Amino acid sequence: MVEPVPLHAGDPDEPETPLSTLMVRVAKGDEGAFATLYDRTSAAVHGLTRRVVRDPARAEEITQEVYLQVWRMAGRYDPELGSAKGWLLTLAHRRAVDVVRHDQASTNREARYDWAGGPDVDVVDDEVMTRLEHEQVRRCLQTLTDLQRESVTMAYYGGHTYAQVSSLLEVNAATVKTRMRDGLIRLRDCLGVHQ
Amino acid sequence: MSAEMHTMVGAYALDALDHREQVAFEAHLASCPSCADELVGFRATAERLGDAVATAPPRRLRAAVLQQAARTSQERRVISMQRSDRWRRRMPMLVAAASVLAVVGLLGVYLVERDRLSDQQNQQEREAAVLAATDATTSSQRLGGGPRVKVIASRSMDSAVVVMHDVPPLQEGTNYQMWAVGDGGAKSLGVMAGDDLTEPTTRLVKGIRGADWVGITVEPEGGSKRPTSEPLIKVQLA
Repeated sequence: MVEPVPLHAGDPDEPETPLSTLMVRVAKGDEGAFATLYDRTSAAVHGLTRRVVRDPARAEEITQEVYLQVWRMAGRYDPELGSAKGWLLTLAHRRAVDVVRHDQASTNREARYDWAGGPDVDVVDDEVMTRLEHEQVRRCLQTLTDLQRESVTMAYYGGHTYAQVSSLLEVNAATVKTRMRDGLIRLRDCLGVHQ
Repeated sequence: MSAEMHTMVGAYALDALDHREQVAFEAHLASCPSCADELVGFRATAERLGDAVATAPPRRLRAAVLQQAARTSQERRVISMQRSDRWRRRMPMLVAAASVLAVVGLLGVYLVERDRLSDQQNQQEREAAVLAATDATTSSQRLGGGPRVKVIASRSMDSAVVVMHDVPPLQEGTNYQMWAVGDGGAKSLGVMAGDDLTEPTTRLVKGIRGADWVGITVEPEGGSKRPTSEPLIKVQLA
């Protein structure tokens, strides 16, 4: 079940079309560009969604929904506003979080969550770039304090609000909010994310 | 107040605010360049967290996504560009902030307020706006191996996009009718004839604000004032 797609790294002789350029083409109705966009971003979109909802069928459903939304609204993407993949992941994350919170409202299953350790090894794709990315993120997560790390991962991977994190960890809500920001600052600097 | 708001940027970037706080923070963002700056870096950081758990979807999903896109019309790009220019002039800080979703969300509200588009264009814009609404919630229901119905609802816009899969064909002289059901009883959301059914069938409906669930019944041709049969399927709204 390996996708026959080029890796992120690409071939130096054949530079990949930037995702932002693909988005412009998608906005003009270019189905080929849309297919390429899917090939290059669907592992991230699907993986994140699956991580949050923990249900393979729903993760597929959300992934499909997100790409349809991207197809329809590609014209709204503006490269000046950030990376195309970031845009896709934001759409996917919000949708996944909605689904999880809806489920939480109907069945209280919070006790089952335990994401504090960050990404699992077993859910990560066997592809080299992803593994490097994964290792770097894992290493950087370890540079956070326990509370920072738990706050960030329970929100991002677990789909919890800061208020939920606060009651799960029995820590003051304002503290959790602050730790989320502090944790992201530390993570951003460790990962060398350029603003 | 502002300092307290500023600490919310981390939780906002992680989608860890509840809906009310999210709306409040987006309003704050327009006048907080340092929040906006920080958000750009946080979004990029979150992107890395997402990348770190990448896992390829099953092969069949690709075909499903591409086929569905091929059947789906796109939002008119020219219109959205003009709008985005307008926003750029009015709210340069917000646009510069890379707060894409805030912009999309605000555009959604803006699109609904404007009424100078033709009905059809307006319909498309509104559908996209519901999907992008910050309070949009997704609920779905499946009947055994049979029909599946998904409702993406925005209470703030009083609208929902209903997506129906594998709906059985109708008998002669009958229609499907969608209902929003709440304390006030059942309100019709529209009628679909057999010819209207596609795979999937998508409808933008209005009037869901007070509803607890959305249901679909089989009714005599032309629809009924009140449901006359048990719903084929019920979707509980978030």
